[in-house]
Amino acid sequence: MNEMRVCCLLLLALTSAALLLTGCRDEKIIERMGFTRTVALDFPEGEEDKTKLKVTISIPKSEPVNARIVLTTIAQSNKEARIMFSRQNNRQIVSGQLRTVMFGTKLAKDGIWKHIDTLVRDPSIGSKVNVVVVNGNANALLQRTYKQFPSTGEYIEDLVRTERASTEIPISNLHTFSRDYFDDGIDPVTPLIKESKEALSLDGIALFRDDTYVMRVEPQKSLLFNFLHKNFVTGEVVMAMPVQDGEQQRVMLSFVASNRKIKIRHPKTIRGGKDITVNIHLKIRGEVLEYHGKLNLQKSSDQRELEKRMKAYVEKETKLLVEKMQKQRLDPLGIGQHARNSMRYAQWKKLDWREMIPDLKFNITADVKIKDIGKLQT
Amino acid sequence: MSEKLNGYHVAFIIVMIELDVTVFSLPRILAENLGTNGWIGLLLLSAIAFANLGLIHLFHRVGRGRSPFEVAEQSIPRLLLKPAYILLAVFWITIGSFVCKKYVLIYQMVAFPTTNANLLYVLLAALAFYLLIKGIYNIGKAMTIFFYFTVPAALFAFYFKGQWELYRFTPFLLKGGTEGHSLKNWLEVYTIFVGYEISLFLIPFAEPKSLFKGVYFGHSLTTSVYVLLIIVSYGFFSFEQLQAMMYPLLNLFSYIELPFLNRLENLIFTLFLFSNLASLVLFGWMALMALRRAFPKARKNMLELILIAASLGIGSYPKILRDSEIMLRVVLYLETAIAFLLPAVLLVLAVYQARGKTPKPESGTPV
Repeated sequence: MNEMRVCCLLLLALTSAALLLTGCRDEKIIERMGFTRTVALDFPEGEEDKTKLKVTISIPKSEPVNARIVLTTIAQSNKEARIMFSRQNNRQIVSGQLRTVMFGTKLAKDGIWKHIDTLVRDPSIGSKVNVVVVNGNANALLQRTYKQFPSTGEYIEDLVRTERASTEIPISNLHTFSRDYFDDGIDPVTPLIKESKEALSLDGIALFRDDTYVMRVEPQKSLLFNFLHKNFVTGEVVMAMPVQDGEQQRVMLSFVASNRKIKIRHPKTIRGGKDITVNIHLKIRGEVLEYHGKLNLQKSSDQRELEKRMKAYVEKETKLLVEKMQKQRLDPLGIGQHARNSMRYAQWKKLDWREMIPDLKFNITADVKIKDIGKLQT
Repeated sequence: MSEKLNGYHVAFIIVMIELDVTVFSLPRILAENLGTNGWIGLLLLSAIAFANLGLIHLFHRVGRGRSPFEVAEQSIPRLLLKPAYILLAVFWITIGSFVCKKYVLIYQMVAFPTTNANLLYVLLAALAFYLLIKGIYNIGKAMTIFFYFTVPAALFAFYFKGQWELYRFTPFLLKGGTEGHSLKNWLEVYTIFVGYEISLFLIPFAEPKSLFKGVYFGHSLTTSVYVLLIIVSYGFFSFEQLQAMMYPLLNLFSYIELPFLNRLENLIFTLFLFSNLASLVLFGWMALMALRRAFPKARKNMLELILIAASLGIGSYPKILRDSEIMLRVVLYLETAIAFLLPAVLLVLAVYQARGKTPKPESGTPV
């Protein structure tokens, strides 16, 4: 009996708590809210004043389908812009459903941490918000409507999500960005998108030094970057290899599994980057369903030849990519994390890792194998 | 009062009193105070808490199951004990209140930014009152339910497999803390275990055989939950990021996205209301035991009412999060000292009494 009474009382108290709380000022009526879905941040065009920020938000409406409210203003910060938007709007602007934040190139090149900081700090914003850099003007991209596609905010999310699934681009959200920003052994990366006449498209990967955007990996090289960046298993990738025997060779690999192993070697006392050797071994497995070239893949000798060509291609191109990143003193691959784990704490703290990056010695080896060639014999 | 707590319920009481709002900042506290691979330090500290529990166990043996109050009153004049009881009662209700207030302040930040924090606190205190007047046996049962509300949230740990990397742990052992190692740093981490000393007062209310099984099991369970959450956090966040975040677990849970639900941290944090309510109730109960000894003739429910009223007063004192954290830390330091000193003093008394005359056979009678 006693138990029952405790339970009843508890229940009563909880319901009264719920009732009382809804009577407070923190009520949220969905119809009166504007849920910001996408935010674009950039410097205002044609102005040199770096304290001003041009902010565009996109708020989806339930009816008609794909309708949305787009608001733009110039303010000192993202938060201040929100206050200005609330003034222009018949709804209260809230950011609990924020999904994507986009930075224009100009702003990204100036450093974005202070904007990420306010987003991470805000308890109403989750940590899975996509972080994207726009190649060009972020505000203009968000303001436009792309007729064939869902409303622009949703369109960007879908684009990022599907491309991530096929690993054209690495995962990039508020969590991963701040994680890699704080870590002293890796630099953050984000996807790059751009607008074309009728659609949006991915425009490669943006590499950051701390919080400033410094280098772009072209879409054709994204795959190679991904091989180096992390382990992945994905649907399909196309390897466009250089001309050989007078013909461009293209291999479409399906169900690719890529695995990277990083080994660091260095003497006990490290005088500079030259003393550190980074061995990266890539293991790539895939099914070949489409091949344009002169080899006859029914023959296992030709399969082996193709494997050899792919291996040479991957090794050469990744090496070039790494050299480019080294020149910019970038470490998006997290080599620093592995180097850190290979030495004593005091030794790591004494190193100026950023300055050592250009001198590191890289050995990249690839092991590419064709798993099978599908269900056609000839 | 004839029913006695089973070891099963005792375990949940221990878990619920140890687990409170501090767990949300635990990974950061570890990263700040102990540095890399802080989970090893946590295990060491947990072992110290085990030693403390061993001390209480020893007292239980030597004192032959008598309540700590009986042992104390046999050797120390009541006139001296009465103010000590009152002081302890005030102190314990203060801990419970500060824990709850901190929870309420964070809850306000997360969910109800403009609602009066004291209103939320009143609701918690009302619940605490209802539980307190029901006695420890029913509190024990309520704690079992609360346990199932809160602790399973730790199972979400497995959600983070994809973003978890072993190399973020680094091979460095307890390096990189913000202030280096000092007793204060270790003590600050140790305070997350505070509360297990309630086992001292459970002695007359629990089955003597299963009491300490439950206590040890409860403490191991808390330690495992902490270690699990810390290991997830250390592999999911980068070390410097952990040090930068106020409440890493809130960020951790906000990363979870289920097909039908996202921003899960709000739900989980709300469920943690129960574990903080539990801390208030259980510390309140310890205070109640002391008060009952000081005022044995008080009217029914009167002492409970006084305690909750006091809790409302004390709870309304810290108004901003910064103050609340500092005050809570100070009382937890003191409580850590009490957790060691109290059983030690009682043990000395019990040994002394056992050497002299054999005590009157009143063992096992509830207070």
